Amino acid sequence: MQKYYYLLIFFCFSSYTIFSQQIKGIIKDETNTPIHLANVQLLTLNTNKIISFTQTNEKGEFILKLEKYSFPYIVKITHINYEKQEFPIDNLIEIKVVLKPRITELKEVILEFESPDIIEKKDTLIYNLKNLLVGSELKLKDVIDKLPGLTIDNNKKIRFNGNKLDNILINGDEFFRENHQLATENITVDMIEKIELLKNYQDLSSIEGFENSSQTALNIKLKKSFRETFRGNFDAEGGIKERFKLQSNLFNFGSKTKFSLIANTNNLNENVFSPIDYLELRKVTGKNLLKDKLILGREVTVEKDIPPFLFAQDNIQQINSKNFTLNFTRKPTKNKRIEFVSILNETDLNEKNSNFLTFLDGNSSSILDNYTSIGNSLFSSNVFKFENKLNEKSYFQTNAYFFLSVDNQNQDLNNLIVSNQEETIFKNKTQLNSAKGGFNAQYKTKYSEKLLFEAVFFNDYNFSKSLKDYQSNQNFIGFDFNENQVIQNTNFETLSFGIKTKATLKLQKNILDFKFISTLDNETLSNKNNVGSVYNFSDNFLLTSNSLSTIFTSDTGKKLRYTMSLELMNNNHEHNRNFKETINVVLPSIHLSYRLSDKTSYSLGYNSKLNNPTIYNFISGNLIENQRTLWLSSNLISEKMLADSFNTGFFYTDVAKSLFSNLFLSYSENRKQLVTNSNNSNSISIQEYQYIDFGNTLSFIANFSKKFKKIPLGLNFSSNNSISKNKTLSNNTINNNSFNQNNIDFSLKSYFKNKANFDFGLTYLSNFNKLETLSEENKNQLQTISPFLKLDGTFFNKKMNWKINTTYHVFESSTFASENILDIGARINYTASNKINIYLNANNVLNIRENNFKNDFIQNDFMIQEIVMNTLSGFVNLGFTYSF
Amino acid sequence: MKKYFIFLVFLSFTTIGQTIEVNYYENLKVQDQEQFKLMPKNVQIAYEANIFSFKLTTDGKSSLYQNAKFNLKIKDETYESTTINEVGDTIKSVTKSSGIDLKSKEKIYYKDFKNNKSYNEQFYDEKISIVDSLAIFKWEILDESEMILGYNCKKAVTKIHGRDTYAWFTDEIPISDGPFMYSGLPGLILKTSSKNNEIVAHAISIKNEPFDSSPPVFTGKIYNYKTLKEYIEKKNKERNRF
Repeated sequence: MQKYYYLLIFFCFSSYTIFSQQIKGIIKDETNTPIHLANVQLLTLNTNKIISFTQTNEKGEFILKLEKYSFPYIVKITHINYEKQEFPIDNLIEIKVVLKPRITELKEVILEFESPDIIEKKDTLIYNLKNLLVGSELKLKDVIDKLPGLTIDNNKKIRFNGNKLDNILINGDEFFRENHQLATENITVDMIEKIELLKNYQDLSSIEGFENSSQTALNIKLKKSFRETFRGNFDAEGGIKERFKLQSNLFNFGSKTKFSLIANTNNLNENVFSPIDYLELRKVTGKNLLKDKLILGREVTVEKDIPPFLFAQDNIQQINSKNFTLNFTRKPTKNKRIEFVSILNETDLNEKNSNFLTFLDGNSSSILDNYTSIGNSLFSSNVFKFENKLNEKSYFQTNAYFFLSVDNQNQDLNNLIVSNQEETIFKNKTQLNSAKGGFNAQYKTKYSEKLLFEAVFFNDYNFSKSLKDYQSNQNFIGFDFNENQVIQNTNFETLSFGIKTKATLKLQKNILDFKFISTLDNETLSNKNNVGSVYNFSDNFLLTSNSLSTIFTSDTGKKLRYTMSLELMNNNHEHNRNFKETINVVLPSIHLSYRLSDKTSYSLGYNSKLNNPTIYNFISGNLIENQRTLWLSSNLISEKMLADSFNTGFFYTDVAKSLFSNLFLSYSENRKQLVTNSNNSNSISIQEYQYIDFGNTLSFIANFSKKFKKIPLGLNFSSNNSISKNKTLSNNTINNNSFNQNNIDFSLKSYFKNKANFDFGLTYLSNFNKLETLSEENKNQLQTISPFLKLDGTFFNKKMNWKINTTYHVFESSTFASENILDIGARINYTASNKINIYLNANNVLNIRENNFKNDFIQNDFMIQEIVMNTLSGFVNLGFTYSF
Repeated sequence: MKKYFIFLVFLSFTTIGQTIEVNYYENLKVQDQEQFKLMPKNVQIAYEANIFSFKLTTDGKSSLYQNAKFNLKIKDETYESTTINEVGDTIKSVTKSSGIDLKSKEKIYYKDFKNNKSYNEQFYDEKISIVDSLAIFKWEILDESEMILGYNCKKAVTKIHGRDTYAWFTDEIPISDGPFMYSGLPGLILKTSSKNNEIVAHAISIKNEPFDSSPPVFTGKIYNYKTLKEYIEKKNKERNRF
């Protein structure tokens, strides 16, 4: 009976424990002391999901409550001072645990959250300005200097990963076009809110389903206080040696209308826009619209008749320039856009230099020239663009442009022939007037989801007139002329028309293009002078070209992408000297790119190109180029000039690590090209064109940019190297000419926040030339090694901003003994109020004297010119800026 | 006996204390964009992220949560606005805003886990001190997790005054503590988020030293949660009178 009683009680107790739905326990340490505040968790076996948790009380006891349960579970017990314990349980038992003291402590650590320097969102890189800027930046160019992957090159163009940016956007809208300098020099750091880089920018002309090939764009978002309102500033600066600058900026960046007007006059040699900007403005022709953007490639064009003020870096004695630049864009709706850019520039230039000419034929004597020139140049460029996205399927744009330039130059030249010490004096007057205008239109429409049509029409007209008036103390015997004054008038005129039609077909994800282009170029050249009838001629050269191409582009979503194209071209050349040539060519091209991962990609390509001659290659009379050089009339006719080019590239980009790098190798070979044959004597150089079937160039480009996280440093390296091999003709003998050019830049800069920062590095420029004749080998070289150190910082809570630049130029030349130049400059800026800035601008302070000079080097196929030129004196100016 | 004593001493030396220091940012969230745009700039500045920094020092037995020095200067601001009333009159008004009072952001929150007490000094219209027992939260642990400062954190949710408040905790640091008043999860809370604010850890340091602390001593009137509730209700009535 008692047994039965106990059994009943036991039964009651057992059933009580089954339905209680809690797990109890007690936790003690090895000395049997209860542990307070130990964490107890109940986890599921496989997924480690926390079902219930609690903490122990002062007695070390805990109760885990469960609503429903399904064993087995895992019990996990943790405490900061004890080793954790984990074990499985099958049923509701009472747990007794003894914890051991912690022998492996939590690792002593200091962790900090660092926001990334660059955030990548799809095709956009957003730069974290809070991390990257150090506090001493004043203008957009100082900001871009700090952004990994972006650099400003020697021509003041912004480059991303070594390639020039295609667009600059202000608040998402295109502005400033290719004139990057207008943006980098005039947008100040307090205007900037955000900067992002778009790797695949699609402009208004992009039609859905048939997007344009990717363009890069830098989008600068301005702070609210600089939008929809007129802002600007006025800057005045002056100092010793009568150096001065006056500039005023006025701008209004609205959402529909954007406007910027810059007026500047100075004699500091600060150009509002760079020489390359000028060359590019001249290249704006309708013909450029016909070209589909080449995937890779560097185009080099030779421009004739370029005013001298362009290349006057500081190799001048004096320069006075005035510039007015207007940029205007209006977007009345989000599908329509009007743009107008107008530049008016006037420059007065004084040059003084001493040239030592060495002719590479080994026969001709060297010549020493002393040269002074006073020049004046007026230039006006006006470009108008209207584009309209009619609907999602159609797009229309039209451009019109007009350039006008007037250049005058007066030169005094003292020419000394070294071998016989004969001296000739020249007074040369040159005048060049040119006008250029054109109009073009493009229309695109999507016929269906798979078919797109495009049509382009252009019309360009170019006229230039040059007058050369040379007077000497001796007769111009070199020209077979018994007088001492030569006056020559040359007129050049081009009229071009063209059309292009293209049909784009989508085959699943591949694209097939059929393109037809037809162009007509009519060039006229006429020359007249007082030397002889052989110099009077009037030529006409008509070039008509028709081409049909097929282009296949594979699926761009795949890892391996390729583009193949075949172009059939028919060219007709007609010259009034009675030759008519038809040149038919087949031009294949192929380009492959393989995207190994998000960060790495390779590319490989081949393309062939046909080069066309110009009317200058076929002159039917003689043409005087300068006081001692003339071009002989030509007996040549048009011939097929094909060139092949191979290229390969490797790209590695790691945005999270702020690392951007690429390597690029290209080899191009001319199957046939035109070179200059020159016959030189002491008094004259006679030149004429000749075909040769040899010529190649190997070029190598490397870019590397990395910003370190743990140490606040950024590293930048870029290298541009090329070796060209050519055969040149001097006095009717063929010489082998090889020319090597290198441009290497290296810099290491610091990113200390709100402290002084440094940027040191090296710029290396070199030209090596080797000429092999039958009998000898001539080697020449000019190297410039320029290590530099820049320091900058702020004082008084950013009210004062200082910058010091030191560069030491070391020249090494094969024939000249050059003095090295230590160039020290500084700029101190004091913010007196939010409207007024006072600054000190010191430039090349160790060389503040009238007769500053520098060495330079020009080489071409048959001679080397070593120049000692007067350079601008250094200066120290005091200035103030008023902003509104 | 001697052997036992030496062993005990040895044992006490091996249990070295560790102190965890966590720096948090307290960020306000904009509730109403339209209302935000109308605020003067020296008030809008309070909604910028990562400018108010606080530090939690804890060893599991007690902890101190306190504001760091605020590197912010609030300037007076005068702005004009023009409005047209119902009758059609144009009214031009000039407002002077002295901006947010940085003192309102200062706070001290001391938790004594051993004795189950909390000591809190905060700003309500003036600085007031509150001493009471530790707040108890009913947390529900969710399935989500997130990496914060290199620690794997699980997400949990609780209701405070009817509103959801989320917290992310890591059991790699087994201290049941967190920023401000938050605690009660099986690991250190590195992030909290509710409708109008969030608290985010941006730096952690773990040091091998004990945490020398004692509760703050408050002068003046000391409230508890009950008397605090009465105080707030009284202040609200005063404000509504205008």
